[in-house]
Amino acid sequence: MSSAEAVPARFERPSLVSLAFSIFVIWFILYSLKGAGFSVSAFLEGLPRMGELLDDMFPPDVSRISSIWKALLETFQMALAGTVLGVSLSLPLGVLASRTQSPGKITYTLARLLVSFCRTVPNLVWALFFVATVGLGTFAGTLTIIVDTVGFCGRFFAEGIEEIDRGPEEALKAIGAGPLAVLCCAVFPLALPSFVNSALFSLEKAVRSSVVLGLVGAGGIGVELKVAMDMFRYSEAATIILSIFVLVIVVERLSAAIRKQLL
Amino acid sequence: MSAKVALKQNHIQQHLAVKRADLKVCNLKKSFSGKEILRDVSFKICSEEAVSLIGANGSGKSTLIRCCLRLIEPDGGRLEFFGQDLMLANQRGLRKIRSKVGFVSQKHNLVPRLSVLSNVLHGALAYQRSPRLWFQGFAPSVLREKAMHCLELVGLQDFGSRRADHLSGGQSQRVAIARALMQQPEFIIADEPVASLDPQAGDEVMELFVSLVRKEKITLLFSSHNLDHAIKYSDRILGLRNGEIEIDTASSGQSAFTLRGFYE
Ligand SMILES: Nc1ncnc2c1ncn2[C@@H]1O[C@H](COP(=O)(O)OP(=O)(O)O)[C@@H](O)[C@H]1O
Ligand SMILES: [Mg+2]
Repeated sequence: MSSAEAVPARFERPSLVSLAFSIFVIWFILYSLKGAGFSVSAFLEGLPRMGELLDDMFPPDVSRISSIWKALLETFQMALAGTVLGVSLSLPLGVLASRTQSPGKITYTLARLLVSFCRTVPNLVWALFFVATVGLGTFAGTLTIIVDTVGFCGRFFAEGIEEIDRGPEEALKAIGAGPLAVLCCAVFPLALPSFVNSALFSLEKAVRSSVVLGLVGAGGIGVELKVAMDMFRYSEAATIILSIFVLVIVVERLSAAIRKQLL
Repeated sequence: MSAKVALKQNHIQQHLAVKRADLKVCNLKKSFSGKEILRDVSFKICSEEAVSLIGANGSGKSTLIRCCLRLIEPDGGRLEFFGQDLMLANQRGLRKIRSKVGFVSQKHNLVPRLSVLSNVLHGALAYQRSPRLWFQGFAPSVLREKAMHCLELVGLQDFGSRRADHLSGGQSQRVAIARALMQQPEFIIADEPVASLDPQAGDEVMELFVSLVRKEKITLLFSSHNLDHAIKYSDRILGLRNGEIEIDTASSGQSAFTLRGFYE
């Protein structure tokens, strides 16, 4: 029966350490649900209230639709301008932050650190910082989106650059072309699809986050939404939410179409 | 100084110029993670000579060729192009020497999203720093015409506006050759230039390549695993084995049959 012995057991017997670790993880997840204030009863009690709120929202109130559209346009402009400026900054930063193109170890590390810092600090924190320094309004929002875009695109541009075929780059280096020419003639054209992809994702992200930024006073449609909610004008809030929904969908569709065209 | 002596000196200089060593490689060494690929490589290539480099797969032909241009940094040894020391050159000096040496590799290494014309124009980056060369649309018309002429030499004058990734393997390699000609180099190094093509296209492209190089009086070093190509297209054959040049012989009178023993 030696052949039967060769079949591995269906389950491996866990070691004592991994067993203890698994128990700890499960306990911590349950403990976190408590820490998160998760309560089924509170949710059930809140259900009728949610129903009432939805009821208040419908039918949506379109009396202020023109100022809502204006705020919506402002939000989109904030997102677009912030993304374009952020992408322009990300391009050189992405080069410096890529293992393959960075001129030196120190520039590489510094660029990486800067990009990580932009990314890891949440954008609401950036928004609060800019509202406190440059004041309420869309400029604070635009600055936030620039930083957010640098955090996102800086990283993905660098990765896009690291992933390209090194052959064309070598071909130009071999004939003595300068570093800038090598970047513009070989590296960027090869990384372009990846750049466009990241930039479009970044724009979608910016549109979504620029909505939230208004909640802390950084301009755009979020301000309107906060005012409507604070003044219990739920039917107007419904119009605003639906408009945001339309904007986000339109931008996502557009960027999908551009992506398909270019890639 | 009498006219006669001057004439004689002139004659000697001309003679020296013809015999000048374009590339000198002395005791070149290169290891990859402790494994010695090039142990002690020395050879010379004279002006207007065509030299082939043969050797088994993995014998280090590509490594040697890349080391010659310092695309891979050698561990030791000396390199001289046109009498200038490549190992001592700074970045600028290195670029200056490289600009006189064309490089054609096994993969065509064209930039896929750009047009064929843009790719050929990039050959001029060796001697023109202007950003106008980055994209054919902005390039000076003199250079555009010159690039078209180079395309004509390789028989692809009708493909200028085609995207580089919409070409066959043979066509791509011919564009790479046009790019090298655009550079107006004094020397071309080619690493198995036709190894990625089927035998017939390989023969055609090799024939075209070598005839253009000979016509322009460009010195040539090419590696090949095709012994017939090595014999037919070069004046001299270098054989690389165990990290050293074990064969250095005129190619006339050689047969593929006798050379095959070299691989055993
Ligand atoms: N960058 C590298 N890192 C480590 N080993 C390498 C590298 N490049 C080449 N080698 C090794 O060096 C040897 C010679 O390679 P190569 O020069 O490409 O040979 P050939 O061109 O003659 O086929 C091979 O064994 C290869 O694995
Ligand atoms: Mg090789």
